[in-house]
Formats: sequence, structure tokens, C-alpha cells
Amino acid sequence: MRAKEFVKENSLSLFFLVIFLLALIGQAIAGHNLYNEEALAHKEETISFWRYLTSSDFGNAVMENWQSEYLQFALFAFATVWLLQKGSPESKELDQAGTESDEEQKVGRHAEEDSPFWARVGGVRTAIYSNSLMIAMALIFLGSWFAQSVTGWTDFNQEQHDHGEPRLSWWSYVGSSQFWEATLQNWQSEFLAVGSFAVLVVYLRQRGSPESKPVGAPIHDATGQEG
Amino acid sequence: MPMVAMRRQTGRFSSSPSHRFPAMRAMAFVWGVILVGGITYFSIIGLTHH
Repeated sequence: MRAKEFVKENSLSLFFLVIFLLALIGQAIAGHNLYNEEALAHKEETISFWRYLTSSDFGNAVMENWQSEYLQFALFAFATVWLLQKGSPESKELDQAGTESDEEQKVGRHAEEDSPFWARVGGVRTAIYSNSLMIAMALIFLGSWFAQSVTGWTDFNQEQHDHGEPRLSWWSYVGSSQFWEATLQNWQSEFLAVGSFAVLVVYLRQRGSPESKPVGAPIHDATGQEG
Repeated sequence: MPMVAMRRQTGRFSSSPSHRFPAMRAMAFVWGVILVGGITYFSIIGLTHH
């Protein structure tokens, strides 16, 4: 396949891959500078950029944002199976709440010739494949939330040590206000963004975007229609 | 159509939709490595008290 074709067919994921990497590098540089500024202010030793990349301080900052993004996607994918928003292209049509019939979902004996094997085969494999997006998002959420907890725990205990205070066990740390403040500050912003987006797209449009209804679509109709 | 058969028929890799799947799988692989690698990397850093 020609490179030009590859770029065209994958432009959305390539664009986000590039800006993700740029943002992550930017975060690492700014985080390293901030870490060393604070170290100097407290008359402590500064650290190299490499040491910062392998620090819990950096890991915690990255992971607490990852977990909330994947919680948002997982919840959105799960909630939109049953919950509806009239007039929103993000919602299914009002009479389609639920997991829908095998025929509508093209599984088992209703599968088509080019349906994925796990959609055709039936049984446990089709059940797993039917929920595979949700399962993957939930695992990424739980994994990054765990990584947030252990990096935050190490970071927290380092500070406790520096101030001559006792270290906490991991269990105590995940029950602490510090952990939950860091977690919930991310969750609330994700829930705000998703909830408001589901309503804003009822009234507002972005011509050509599948996230929006067609520009001329009626306000309260066209539920589940993409532009 | 298998890759070898396609090569025989056209003399080079066809750009038919079925042959775009490896490229799409490569994209999925890159994102998978970032996610699984990132989570594993930072979990180890936290657990080893870095």
C-alpha cells in the first residue's frame, strides 16, 4: 500500500497519535522544570530529565488523566446502550434502548459472510466479542487507575519521608483524601464534558462531523442521526 | 485472497480493501503498545518506589 493511501485511511488516528506524543513530551519537559524549581525552592537536589521520566511524580501525573479518560469512554459506551437523549446524535433512537436483537446486531445465525468469526461462532466467544469494546476500556481504566494509585502512593510516601512523617500502606493511601481528590477532580471534568456534549449536539452543529447531526436536521428529531 | 496469490496475479501487492487490514492492524498495535506499555511501565515505577 502506498504511504499516501495509508495516511489518508488512518489520518484520524495518526493525527491524534502525533498530538498525543507532542503533548506527552511537552508535559514531561514542563513537569521536569517544575519539579526542579520546587526542589531548588526547598533546597533539595535537582534531578535529570531521564530520572524525571522514571519518577512516580511524572507517572502519577500521566496516569491520573489516562484513567479518567477511559472511565469516561467506558461509561459512555455502557450508558448509551440503555440511556437515551432525545435529539442527540450520540444517542440511539428512542425505541432502541437495550442490547437489541441478534438480527439487528448480526450475530450467531444472523451474522453475514464477512462478519468477524467471533460474531458468527455463538456461545461464550460471541458474548465476549459483543462486549469487547467495553471490556477493553474497563481494563485500561482499571489498569491506569491502579498505576495512578501506586505512583501516587510512592510520591506521597516520599513527601512523608522528607517531612519526617510516617509512611502509609497502599491500602491506607487508596483510602486517603489525597488519592480521592486527585481521582475525583478528573472524573468530574470528564462527566461534565460528556453530559454537556450530549445536550449541546442537540442544538449546535459541526458541518461534516459524524459527532454532529446534519446542519439542517430538526432540533428535537433526528435522534441518533449523524451528519 | 492470500498474499502470495495476490502477488502472483498482480506482480505486486494489490491495494484492494482486504490488503489494507495489515496496515489497520499496525495502527491498532501501536495504540495497544502505548496503552499496555504505559500502564505496565508506570505500575512498575510506582511499585518499585521510584
